[in-house]
Order: sequence, then C-alpha cells, then structure tokens
Amino acid sequence: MLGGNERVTQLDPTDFFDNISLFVKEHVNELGEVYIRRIISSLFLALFNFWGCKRKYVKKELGTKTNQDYYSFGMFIRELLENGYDAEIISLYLYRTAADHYIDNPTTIEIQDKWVSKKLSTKKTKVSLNKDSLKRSIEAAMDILDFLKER
Amino acid sequence: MVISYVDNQLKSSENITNIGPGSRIAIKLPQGNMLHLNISMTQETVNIPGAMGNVDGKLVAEILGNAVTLETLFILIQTLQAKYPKLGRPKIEVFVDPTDSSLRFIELVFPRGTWEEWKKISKEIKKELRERGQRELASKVAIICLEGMKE
Repeated sequence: MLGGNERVTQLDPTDFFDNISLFVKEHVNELGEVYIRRIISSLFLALFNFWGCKRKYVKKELGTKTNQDYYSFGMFIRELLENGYDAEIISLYLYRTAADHYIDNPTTIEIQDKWVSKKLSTKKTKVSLNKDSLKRSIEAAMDILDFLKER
Repeated sequence: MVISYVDNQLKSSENITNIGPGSRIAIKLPQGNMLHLNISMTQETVNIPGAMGNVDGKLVAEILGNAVTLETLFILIQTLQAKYPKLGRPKIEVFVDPTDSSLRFIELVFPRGTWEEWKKISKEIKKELRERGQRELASKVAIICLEGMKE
C-alpha cells in the first residue's frame, strides 16, 4: 500500500472536480435528479477523503481504528469553520444531507434537539436539489479544495 | 414602582409575564430614578445579550468546552454586530448533525448577508479570531447568513 505523498496524490480530487465541472457545464439542462444527488454527495466525500489523507500523511495526525485512518465529519467541518469556510461547508453539508438522506425534493431537513428551556425543539431547514444548488455545491467544493491543497 | 420595561419593551407592572433568565428589566422608581435589573441565568437556559433566543447553558458549555466561555461568545457577537451592522441581529442556535447527532456546534444565524458577503465575512472574522489565538472559538462557532443561504 502506498503512503505519504503518493497516497495524497491518489486521493487528490482536482482532476475529478475538473471533469465534473466540465460535465455539468455541458449537460446542465439534461441532468436528472439522480445525477444532481450523486454529484453533490461525491463532491463532499471526495473532499473529506482528501482532507483525511493529508491529515494522516502530511500533518502526521493519525486517526483511529486499526489502520489509524478513520476521521470524523466533525473534525473535518471544524477545521473548515476554523478557517472561515463557514458558507462553503455549511451549504455543501446541508445539500449532501438532503441528497443522501431525504427522498423528497424540495425537502425539509428536520433536527430535533433540546436547546430551548428544556423543551424538545424542532429546527427545520428547507433544501432544494436543483441546477442552482449543484452549481453552488461545485463552487463551494472548488473553494474548499483550493484551501485543502495549501494545507 | 410605576412603569417597567422588559427587554426594552414597555410593560405595565401588573402584566409582566415574559420574564426569564437573561431578561433585562428597568424599573422607574417613584422618585424618578431608574433601577436596572438583570435576571441571572439558571443552570438550564442562558440569554446572550445581542443575540436572540435562549439556549441550554449546559449544552452550550459542553459544545464550547473549557477553552471558550460564554463571555468570549458574547464578545464575538458584539464584534460582529459592530463590524457588520447590516447583517442584522443574530439568532443563536445549536447545530446538531441531522444524521446521527454526533456533531454539534454553535450557530450565529444572521438574517441578512448575501452569499458573497457570507463567504467574505466568515473568512475575515475567523482570521481575526485565529490571530487573537482563539482557534477553538473559530472552529466551534459557525456564522450563517440566511439571505445568502437562500440565494
């Protein structure tokens, strides 16, 4: 198994993102919802894999599990928040959640949690998966990728 | 006591029903002087001046950890409002991962701010926090501009 910089190069999604971006530009009016969902999901997860790889092999911050190669979404999102990528990662994460976990479109992402006066509160966010959200996701993913490559 | 104000709204002394932790009350004494009272927070809920909404104090402390106090969050809110008044008054919320509740962070949800402004402001403010040595705060508080999110 490859390690170090070779592994980072293997999981660098630059080429993948360039091809996705080109594909979307050429076919934007023909893309069905399955394409939109799968592209958004893969953008997020490709970034997450690349971030984890750099964390392990460049920053030498080992993860958990047998190969010390497991990292959580939380660590990934927090690093992006710390560096001011709030807009990009929050948007991409919400779209990914709608794409992977909800069936209707538009849908309402519902979060229940106890945060007001001990009562269970429901927070709802409406999310649509369409051409605009796809373009926004690609833009956000490209910006995050540029940042991760500098790390 | 002849006139009372609760959170800057005039109330008659017989009709004060919405007082809770975090409420600020101004009472006009018979001799004309104003007596200012802050309702102290309980263990359950807390109101951070400058932000809308009461949140579970224990949960906020659990998310922010020891390195970040409610006071630093308060200073962040004041800084954001002074620097970017056009964003409006933020609502403080807790983000919980909609898929498994494993990820939690504090959200400052501003009513205004375009997508481009949201990206720029997040980077500016997080850079400032990092330079002040407040990386922990930067990574656990997400700035949200609702207008930009809905664009």
